[in-house]
Amino acid sequence: MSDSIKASLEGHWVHAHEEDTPTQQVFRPATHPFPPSRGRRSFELRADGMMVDHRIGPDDRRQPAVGSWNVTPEGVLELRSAGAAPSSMRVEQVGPDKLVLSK
Amino acid sequence: MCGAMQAHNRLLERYPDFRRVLGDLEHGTLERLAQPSPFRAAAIVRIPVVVHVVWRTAAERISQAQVESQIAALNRDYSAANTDKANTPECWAGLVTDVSIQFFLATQDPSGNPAIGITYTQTSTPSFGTDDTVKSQATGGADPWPTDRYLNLWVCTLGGGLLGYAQFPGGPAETDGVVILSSAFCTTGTATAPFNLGRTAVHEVGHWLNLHHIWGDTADCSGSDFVEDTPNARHPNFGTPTFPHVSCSNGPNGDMFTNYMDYVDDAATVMFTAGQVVRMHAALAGPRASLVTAQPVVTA
Repeated sequence: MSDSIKASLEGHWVHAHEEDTPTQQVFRPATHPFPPSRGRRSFELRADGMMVDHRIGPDDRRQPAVGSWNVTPEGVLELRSAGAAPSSMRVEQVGPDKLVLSK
Repeated sequence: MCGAMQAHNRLLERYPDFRRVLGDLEHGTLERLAQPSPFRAAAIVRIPVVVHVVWRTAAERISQAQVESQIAALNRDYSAANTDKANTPECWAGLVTDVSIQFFLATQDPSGNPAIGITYTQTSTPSFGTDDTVKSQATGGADPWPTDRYLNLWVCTLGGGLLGYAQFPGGPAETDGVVILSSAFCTTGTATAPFNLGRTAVHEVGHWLNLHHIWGDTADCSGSDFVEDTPNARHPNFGTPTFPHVSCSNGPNGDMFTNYMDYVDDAATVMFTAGQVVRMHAALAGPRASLVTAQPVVTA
C-alpha cells in the first residue's frame, strides 16, 4: 500500500457503529457529529507508527492503551496494543471523512 | 488481560482501597452463591437518591416531574415490572429476575432538612467530559451529597455523544455515583428516542452495583462479566439486534443483548439475570450497605 494511503489512515477514528454492515466496520473522524451512544471505541493512528487505542472501559468511559499500527502492502491494517490480541482488518475504503474496515 | 481491564486496574492501583473493596466483594459474591437460595432476594432494599441537575440552557434544567419519571423507570426495571420483558427470547425468559431494589428521591438533605432530592446548579460549561468535573462545584458541576448515604446521580450535557458513565463500588468517595446525559434521562421531557425509556440510568446504576458489561470488556472473547448465566459475548451490541446474534461460540442463542448491561437501544434492553442480582445484592451487603435504608420488606 502506498505511503499516501498510509498517510490517509493517520488520525483519530471513532467507531460509527450505526453504519456497520454484517461484514464491515465504519469509522469516522473524531470531529464527526456522532449521535448519542452508550460507548464508542476509537483509535488514534499517528505518523510515527504509534497507536492509542481508546477502548470502552468497564464504567463506560474510554480507556486508552498505547500500542503500534501498520498497514501491509496488501492493505491490511494491523493494530497492536498492550494486553490485547493483535488485530488485522482489511482497509476497504479510506478518505478524509470515512474509514471502512473488514470485520 | 485486555487493555480496558488493564486501564481499570491502573485506576485500582491509584486507589488501593478500591482494589481491596472489589476483592472483598468478589469473595462476598462467591459466598452468597454458595448459600442455599442465592438467587432470591430476602428483602426489598430501598436506596435514597439525590439527582444533581447541572444546567446551562433552559432545556437542560429538567423538571421535578421528569426526574420523578426516571425514578419510576428505575423502580420498574429493578423490580422486573417492565411489561416489555415479554420481549425476552424464550430461551432466557426463565432468567429474568426481580432485583428487589426500590429507589426514592431523598426527603432529607445531608443536614436533615426537608428536601426534594434534587439539586439545581447553573453552569457555564457547555459540555462535560468523563473526567468527573461535573461532580465538583469547583469545576463547574455540583458537589455530591455524602456518597455513603445517597446514590448521587448527575444529569448534564456530556461531550462526544456519550450517554453516561459510572463508578464501581469502592472507588473514591468524592466521585462516587453515576452521570447521565440530559437527553437520555427519564422518560418524558428532554428524553429523546431511542434512549427515552430511562435505561441509561438502569445500566449505569448496574455498574454502581458492581455489574460488568456482558461482553466482559474485551474484544477477543477472553473477558468475563463474572456472571454464569449471561453468555460470553465478543463485542457490545448496538441498536435493536435481531435474535440470535452468535459470537464467542455462544450459539444457538448467542449474545444476551436483551440484558441491561449490553449497549442496545432502550427499547431492546429488558432484563437482569439471577446471577446479576446476586452480584448486586452482594454489593448491597458489602460496600453499599451504608446506603440501604428503612426497614426491609419481606417479599412474597
